[in-house]
Amino acid sequence: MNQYNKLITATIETLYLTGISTVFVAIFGLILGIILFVTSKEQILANKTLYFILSSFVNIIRSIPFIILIILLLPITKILMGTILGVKAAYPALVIGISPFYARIVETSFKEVKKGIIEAGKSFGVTNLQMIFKILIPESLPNLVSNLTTLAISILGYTAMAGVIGAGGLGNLAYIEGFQRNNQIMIVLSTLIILILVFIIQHTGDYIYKKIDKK
Amino acid sequence: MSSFIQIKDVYKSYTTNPILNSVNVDIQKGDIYGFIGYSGAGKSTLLRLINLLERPSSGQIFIDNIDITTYKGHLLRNLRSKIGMIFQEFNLLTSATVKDNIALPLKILGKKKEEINKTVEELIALVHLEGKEHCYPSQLSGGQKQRVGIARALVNNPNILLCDEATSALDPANTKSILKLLKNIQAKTNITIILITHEMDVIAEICNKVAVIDNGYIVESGLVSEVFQNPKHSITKEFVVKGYENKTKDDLDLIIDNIAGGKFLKLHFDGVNVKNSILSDVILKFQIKVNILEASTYNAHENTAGYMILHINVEDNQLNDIVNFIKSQNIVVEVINNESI
Repeated sequence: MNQYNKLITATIETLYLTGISTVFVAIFGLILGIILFVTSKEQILANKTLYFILSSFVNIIRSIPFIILIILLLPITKILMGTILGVKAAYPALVIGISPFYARIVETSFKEVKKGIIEAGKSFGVTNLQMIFKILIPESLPNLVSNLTTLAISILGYTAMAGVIGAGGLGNLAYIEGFQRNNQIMIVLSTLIILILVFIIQHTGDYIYKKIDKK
Repeated sequence: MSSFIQIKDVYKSYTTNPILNSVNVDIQKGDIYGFIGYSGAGKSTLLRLINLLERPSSGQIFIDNIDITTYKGHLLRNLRSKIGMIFQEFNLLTSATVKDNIALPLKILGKKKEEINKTVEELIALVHLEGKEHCYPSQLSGGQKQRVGIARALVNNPNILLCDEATSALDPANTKSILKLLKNIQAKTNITIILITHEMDVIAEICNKVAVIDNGYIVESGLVSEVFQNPKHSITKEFVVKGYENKTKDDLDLIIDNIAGGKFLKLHFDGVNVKNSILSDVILKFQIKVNILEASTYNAHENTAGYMILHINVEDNQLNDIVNFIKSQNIVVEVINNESI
């Protein structure tokens, strides 16, 4: 396989890793964030114990350096993906590692929705689910999108880190081809492609934000 | 005759300090019932009892002779869907258009799309927002936002409308037009309107009944005409005086705008000097003509107080002498112009 093919394969791997991980982070983060919000103080399903457990979990995961988290999660990765090597093996660490960040963002975004709007919703008789899906999510959507954009860029960075332990992608390529085999051009090209990907993600995110922000 | 809405012996406290104390109110169908009080008096809590956004610590609330204080879950949501509410800060969804904001309560109830569209269209016409259907709240003025709020509150055809300081964030012109709209809606539909405010003008403009609330107690209530013709409690008297001052302010604006040249003085009297003959003293001493634009006395806190607005044609240096003379008589005086009045 020539060098350019390697570069293209690695780029596609990185795109997959970033894209799929971001989707899962959005889903799991939203669910976890909603649970955090509704169980927090003075909210519809306020539950001190559950909130404490979830909140602690989120804080702990957020505090572990990602490279260590990958290693800590290897047994779980083995169970979930059947392997601890290759592109597939990077998903659990990426999703489990980043979702708590997003969960906290979701919780905070919901808390920033004006109390009066929530009261208005109650005044015309919304159910708890309607409160979340018809009022809280639409009202905080611009915030949720712009924060997801930032996280997608972080995920892109983390895929490169996961690449070092064999997860494929541009990070892996830069490390093996560039560093271990001392191929400077590979390092530069990998970096350049990652930069371009960051720009694309940021601009897409900004574009969507502008479209949906009506404040 | 039993009342449409009856608040009976309601007591409410969060900690130890009571917010509401032995509150009893009877509201008839078709009333525009106003609660007036200063901030912290408990009026906002009182209003929220009616759709149970606040629950009483003790006491009962009857609507159509049914005690609603036991309502929960489905029953509570049903009750709320039949009571409209509008707010000082409008509380519209920033992410939804005018049309979608108004439609939201119906969507929540799972109504059919055609029915929703038809009703929303009617309400947009009712509140005069034709052409704004697809605007977002950030593109609207305060008065327009409140119109959206009113349409949203009325979309499920409620028989009660709660107004939480609905005009307090609006300028005088918008306040007038919103109050007029509410009055028209009431006349058309015989809906019962309950509002809270700290402005006497609002009560005088649209309410037929009023309750004055102070420190968690209703200190005076009845027909607006009776309560404000003959205020008994000191708080009520204060509101009457304030309402009167605001009204004369508006009237005076018109007069002063139509006078060219000259100076305007506003003299404030209190109980001590109200009996002195200051005006004739000024005329005699300075040999000038004085035109009285506005004068009033009122009784507040068992004190007589009053003010007088004068128009005089003098030069600046003589004006200073006159002002100093009036001040020397222990009367507060200010020189006013068209802008500062």
